[in-house]
Amino acid sequence: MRRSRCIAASWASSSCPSAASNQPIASELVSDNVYDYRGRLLAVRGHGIATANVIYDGGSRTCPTFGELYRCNSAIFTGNLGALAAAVGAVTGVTDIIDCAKGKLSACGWAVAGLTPAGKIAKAAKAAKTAKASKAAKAEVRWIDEAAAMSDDAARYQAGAFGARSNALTRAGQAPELNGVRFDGFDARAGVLIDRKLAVTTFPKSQQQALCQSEALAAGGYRGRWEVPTAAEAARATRMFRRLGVSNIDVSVVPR
Amino acid sequence: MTAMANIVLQQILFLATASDSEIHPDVAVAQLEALVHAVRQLPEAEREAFTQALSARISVAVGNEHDALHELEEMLDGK
Repeated sequence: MRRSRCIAASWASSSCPSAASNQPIASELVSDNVYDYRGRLLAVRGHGIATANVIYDGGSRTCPTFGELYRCNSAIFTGNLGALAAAVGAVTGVTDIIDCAKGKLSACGWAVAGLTPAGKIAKAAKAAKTAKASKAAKAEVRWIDEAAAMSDDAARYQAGAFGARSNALTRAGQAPELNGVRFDGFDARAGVLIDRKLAVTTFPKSQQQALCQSEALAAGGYRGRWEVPTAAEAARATRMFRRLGVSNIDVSVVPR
Repeated sequence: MTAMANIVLQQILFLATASDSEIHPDVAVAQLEALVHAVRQLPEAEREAFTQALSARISVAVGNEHDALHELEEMLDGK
């Protein structure tokens, strides 16, 4: 899929194609794969022409699909508050960013975060649960192609994980997956799956993710290791694991 | 700058408190990590604006929102 950078101040890069009235929409603009930040495929989403045209700059340019826009939103990872806010708002468009600024939480809701409609997300989550249940007993670590849907910083850091590899044919990075849970690296000899995080968050949702990883590791007979760039992040992760009773994931500091 | 800080804060809040049917939890966590990392890297003045927006929001928030904001405050404090 074509990649572009579309989150400039104008919300459209100079490389975005010009749009004209009644211009036919290329097929790749009416469907896209939706990935999360770490490149995990969540859904293949189709959408209508009207939706494909939602992202625009004053009507004179169109950017690619929501998925494309999401992929090129690396502005959220670096820069300043303006770039951050622009990245948050760019996906939902002018109306939504205004609503968002006015305090309508739902208007900000789909910004940046992958833009998958709730129904599709629910399907993806259900499929993931089914896959998890059926594979739990196998303890098989599979390698899955990952789209590079992340900031350069994060991509570099994750690519440095032990055992990280790429597909020789597609050149896409690959991630080891255990019981439906993806990691960043795999030390097969030691039986350790590695997850690298530039920042450790401790929201309830983050805690739930840690518990899911722990559960998948336990079911598969592996241990896990979170690798983080600083001692402060490591301390936060360790505290969270202790609080959650997670004992099969170690934490180590691996500077960037 | 305050408006921008509020937009980013709003997004973090949404990601932290949204139900699983609203947004896939893995996506939410990945984005939260990215946003927290990005906020930590803000220049001093902008970081200060964000912190002020956060404090103001905490003072009026209740329930899950309040808890999430406190959690965020601790993360940004390096605790």
